[in-house]
Parts: sequence; C-alpha cells; structure tokens
Amino acid sequence: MKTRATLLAATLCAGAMLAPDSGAHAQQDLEARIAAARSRLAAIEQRAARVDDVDQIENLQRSYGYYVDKMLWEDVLDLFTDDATMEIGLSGVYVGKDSIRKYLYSLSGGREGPLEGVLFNHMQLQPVVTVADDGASAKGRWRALILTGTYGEGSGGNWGEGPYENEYVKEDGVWKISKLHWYATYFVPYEGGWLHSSTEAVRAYSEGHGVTPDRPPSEDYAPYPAAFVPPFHYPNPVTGR
Amino acid sequence: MVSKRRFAIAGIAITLTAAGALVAKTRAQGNSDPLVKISALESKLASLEHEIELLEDNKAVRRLQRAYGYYADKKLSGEIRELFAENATAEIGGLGVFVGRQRIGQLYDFLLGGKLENGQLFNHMILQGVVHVAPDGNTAEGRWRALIQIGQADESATWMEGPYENEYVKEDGVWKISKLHWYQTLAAPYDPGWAYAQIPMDGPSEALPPDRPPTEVYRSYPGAYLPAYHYDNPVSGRKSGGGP
Repeated sequence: MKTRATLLAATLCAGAMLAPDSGAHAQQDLEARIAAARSRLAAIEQRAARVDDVDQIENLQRSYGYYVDKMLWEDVLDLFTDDATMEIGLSGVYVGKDSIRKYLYSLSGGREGPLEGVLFNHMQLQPVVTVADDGASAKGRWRALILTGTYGEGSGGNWGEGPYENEYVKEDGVWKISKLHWYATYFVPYEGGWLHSSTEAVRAYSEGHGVTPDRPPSEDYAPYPAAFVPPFHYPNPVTGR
Repeated sequence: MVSKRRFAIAGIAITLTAAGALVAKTRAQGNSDPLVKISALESKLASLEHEIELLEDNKAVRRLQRAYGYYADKKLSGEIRELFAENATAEIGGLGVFVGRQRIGQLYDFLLGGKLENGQLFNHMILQGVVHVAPDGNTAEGRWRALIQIGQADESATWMEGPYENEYVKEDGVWKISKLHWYQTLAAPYDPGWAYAQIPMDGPSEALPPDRPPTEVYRSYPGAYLPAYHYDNPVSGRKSGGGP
C-alpha cells in the first residue's frame, strides 16, 4: 500500500513539475497568435483607411463641382491646399490660393454666388482615384460635363466636356486638392453642338478676365477637332502597363 | 492507516475532478480563458478581412469599368481588349455576340477603327454604376449607362445612350470583364435631336459576323425595350421590373 501511495504521490509531483513546462508552451503559442492577430488587424485598418480615403476624395471632387455650379468661390477655395495649382483648359497655371482666388472671381465679374440668368453647371463624373501606398497623397481622373448659358442673350447656351487629371494631399487628416488640371476636349455652342468646335470658344470659357496666370499652359495641345490623349496617371488596370 | 490514505487519495481525485469541471465550464463561457478569447478574435478578424476585400473588389470593378470608358474616348482598342478575360463575351447593340478576347479585340478594332484621328470625337461617359460583388468575392455584376457623343468635325454630331449589364471575374486577384452587353436605348443626330430624328440600330455586320447571333432582338428608341436588371429592387427585394 505504501508503495502505491508513493507511486501516486510521485505521479502527482511529476504532473506538477510538467505543468509549468506545458504552460510555458501554451503561453508562447498564445502570444504568437496575439501578435499575428495584431498584425492582421493593422492590415485591415490600413485597407479600410484606403477605402475611406477614396470615398473622401470622391466627395471632395464632387463637392467642388456643386460649388462651381453656383460660383461659390470661397467654398471652392477652401478645398485647395495653400500652395495648390489650378489650370482650366487654356487658362495657364494659377499657383497658390491667392492667385486661384483672383482667377475664379475674374470669371464672374468679381462677384461670388449664383447670378440671375446665368447657368454654370459642372457635372463631375467617372472617377478613377488612386491613393498612394502611404495614404498621404492621391491622384484622380475625372470628367466634367458642362452646361453654361446666359438666359435671353440669343445663344442657346454651351456644352463643354473634358477630363481632369488631379492631385490630392491629406493634411492633418483632411483631403485637399493640391493640383487641379482640366483638359478641354471641347467647348461648343448649343446650336449644332459638337458639329463645329473651336479653340477660341475654349479660350473664351477658360481664360481669366484681366488676370495673368503664374505660368503658361503646362501642355501644348488644342481641343477638338484636334485629337489629343491627356495622359493617364494610372496603368491599365488589368495588365498593369 | 490504509483507510485514511484511501480517503486522502479519493479526496485528491475529487478535488481534481471538480477543478477540471470548473475549467471546462469557464472555457465554455469564454470569459476568462485566453485561448477562447483569441479564437473568437481570430474568427472576427477573418470575417473583417473578407468584408474589406469585398469593399476593395467593388471599388476595383468600378475602376475597371470607368477605365474602359476613358480608353473608348480615345479609341484605344488595344487597351480595351486587355480588360477582358480570356473567354469573355462582348455584345454591343445588335451586332451579335463575340466570344473570346481575340474576337473581342476584332470587334473593338471594327467599332473604333484605329486610333483617334484629328476631326474625330468619340466620348463614352460611363455613369451610374450599380455593382454587386458575389459573397465569395470571385465574380460581380454591374449595371451602368453610357452617354455617348460622337462627332466628325464639321460633318456630323451624334448622341447615343444606353445601359450595360456586365459581368466581371477576379483572376489571380485582378478583376476583368467576363461579359459585356451594351443595350442601345437611343441614337440620334444632335440636330434636330431625338424628338425629331433617330438612327436605327444595326444588326450583325457582314463585314464582321459575330460568333453567335444577338441574345435579344429589340428595336431601339423610339421602340420601348426593357433590358433586364441583374438585381432585385433594393428596398422591397421584389424582382426589378416585375410590375404591379
């Protein structure tokens, strides 16, 4: 009996001695799983942030269009970084908010806000937004479909169309436009539409009145009927080329 | 002595059993055992990973279809061809069905006719995406519309419009078009516009016969035709276009 009791005690002791060892393994295994979970969580957070960034940039650019519609220049200016550049059609490049402000007000006779009898619709469509891996900057291709007109002036209005290649930066967690560049495909009178298109009409629409751009147009091109392919900021989404 | 020892051993055994039961109970409740907690977290992570992937997929499909439009604008048929899966199909208006990337390449060469030349306008605005990615994240469907402005300077200006019902497939992590079907709602000269004139839809071309006849035969505007929706009414869940 004594022997059996001793054996049992020895077994229990051995069990007690083994326990800390297997516990250490379990602890190690647990910590590895926690570390793996942490890194998966960080990856998810980053991917969610990129998805959110794209949504915010799309809202930013669409807001731009709704403000331009109504010539709310101060709201438009709020969307830009201090050192942003803006280039519309053949306007040349305006550098910095002060310059952009002068340009925008020159388009509306120095006034801000919608004007009786004036249509200035700028639809912002078809975004292809690419956020940089670090989430600090982004680029976007968009297109504007434009309807402008002055009521009762004998013209039925105008159509305009063309793509943007824009750039954005995130400052203190807020996305802003750092570069806005609209390429005019055409700007034509409502009568006849894009049957006849001229560079002069694009100039009349896009050039500032009584203001001088800081730099000449960044690219030498003519709108329709000339054929021009504004460069794409992104590679082919399937081939990556 | 013997009895005492026996009682003592029995006592230890009972204590161990009780402790084991307690541990099992606690594990089942999952409120203090770290192993249970980490397992629950891992399964939540897996579901979040799947969820974020579906959001990324939806964005990738939209990007793909919009990129298609920007290439069409500039008649870049070589770039468009690459957006299709190897065994994809494409059907545009009444031209019939083209099967496989090579035939689809021929279709776009035929429709776009080489690179954009001076005097040509070929705007394809790709708008209003309703995109559904399958729960497994491998396929997707999308309804879109194209607003099209075609021009030959000083000769013609034309409107066209109509919806797509397209399908997409993810191959090696890259989304491709597996089925493109554009329904022509309308083609009309800019002047005098769609209230006064319309351009009838072409059937299959003798110059480029399709691999299969059109899947649906219909008349574009002023004909009335309802291209089927790939999705149910998002609020009621009823079949779209199912009537009263």
